[in-house]
Amino acid sequence: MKVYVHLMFTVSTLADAALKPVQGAAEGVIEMKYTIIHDCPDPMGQDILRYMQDSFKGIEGLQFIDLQSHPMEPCTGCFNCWLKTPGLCIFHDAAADIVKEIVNSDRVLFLNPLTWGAYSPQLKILLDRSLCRVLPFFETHKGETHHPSRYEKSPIPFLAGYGADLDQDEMELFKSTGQNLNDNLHKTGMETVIIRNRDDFHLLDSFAGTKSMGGAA
Amino acid sequence: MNRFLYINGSPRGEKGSSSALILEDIREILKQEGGTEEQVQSLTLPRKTGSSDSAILKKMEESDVWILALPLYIDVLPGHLTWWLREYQTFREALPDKKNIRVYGVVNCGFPEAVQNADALRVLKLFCRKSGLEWRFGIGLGMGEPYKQMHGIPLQSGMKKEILNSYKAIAADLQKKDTSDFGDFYVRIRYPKFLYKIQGAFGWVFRARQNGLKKRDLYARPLLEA
Repeated sequence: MKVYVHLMFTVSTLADAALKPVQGAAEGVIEMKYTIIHDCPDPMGQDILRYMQDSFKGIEGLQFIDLQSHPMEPCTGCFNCWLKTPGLCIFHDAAADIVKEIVNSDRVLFLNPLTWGAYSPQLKILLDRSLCRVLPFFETHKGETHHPSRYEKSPIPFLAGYGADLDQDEMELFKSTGQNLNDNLHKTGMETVIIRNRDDFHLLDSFAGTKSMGGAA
Repeated sequence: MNRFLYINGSPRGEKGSSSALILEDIREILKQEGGTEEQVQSLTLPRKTGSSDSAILKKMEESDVWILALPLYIDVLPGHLTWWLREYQTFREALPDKKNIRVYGVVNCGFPEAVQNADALRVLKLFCRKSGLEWRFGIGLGMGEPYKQMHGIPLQSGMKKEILNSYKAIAADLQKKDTSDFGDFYVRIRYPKFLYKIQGAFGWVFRARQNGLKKRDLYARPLLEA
């Protein structure tokens, strides 16, 4: 798959500052597109973000999207994205633009503070708005009913949750959350990591392991 | 005195929400079972987030029992509900005295497998623990989307027996004195899974046609870049 560098993110609702493709070493055709979607409202999250920005520097086709910068309408459960304008949400806001970025990425990383073993509110609002990525019909996947994907290809997801005082129940639930996200939306390989302190930052490096898959590190 | 708060956690609000009907049914069953209900209030959490409302948070705090109903959205709680519950947790953390509130959660999903609601119930349980609330138990309800279409079928009918029993368990739990764990319930209307799936597929196509779309239009991929 070929994706062109310097993603043309033309939708005006997203400020340039919030969508920062890391500049590649050279312009031209690249093989992969990586998207890091982060909701880091606290110092620990900002610290992790800085680590990733440093570690992944130089990877072409990598972009960071800051959920804190973008107000998003929560899903209304209207099903218009299935039945009136298939594949498109009724709200034309940042979430709609970000979902488009996800659909067209090869790998996507979600970073957020664990909230009761699951997603932060901002990330969850975005994920709810991803309903347009599946079809209304049912299929059986791993013995359970799910919705089939609308798009043939799905980005390989990487779910990262962080928190300083996490207990065992929260961490177990977050692992399950990651698995469910994969079964529902992605149905590909999936990595879920939990970051409790600086010693765990390296767990994010496997997303950067994509360097060997086409990035120019 | 028990102050009951029925919380609707559906972003659809009152209109077209299975959660609203589920709360209505539970309220009716609690009345019939002669529960300790003395004062009843309802709250539909606003879909809009970003700006808190202390009146809402106070209303949540000034109750003894919550019965919280919500739809399953991408495996767990809807985003707006997550936002409001976090607001409440922050609000409660700042209170000098935290009185006990007993919490029951009912999560419904459109899938036939009620157990798909399990992680959402686990999230609610953790929310309660972190917020110092007393989680009692949860009900995971499969085939929840057509709850309104099937609302005409009485809860006492054989088809809804499992659902009725789970609602009755709330009444029983409220009446008993001890705090032993009831465990969660996973229930659904007794209806063949294969028929539900077939009817569901026809239903989507029928509704799309009402919008002037053909079946093949439902498979559109408008976000794909060339």
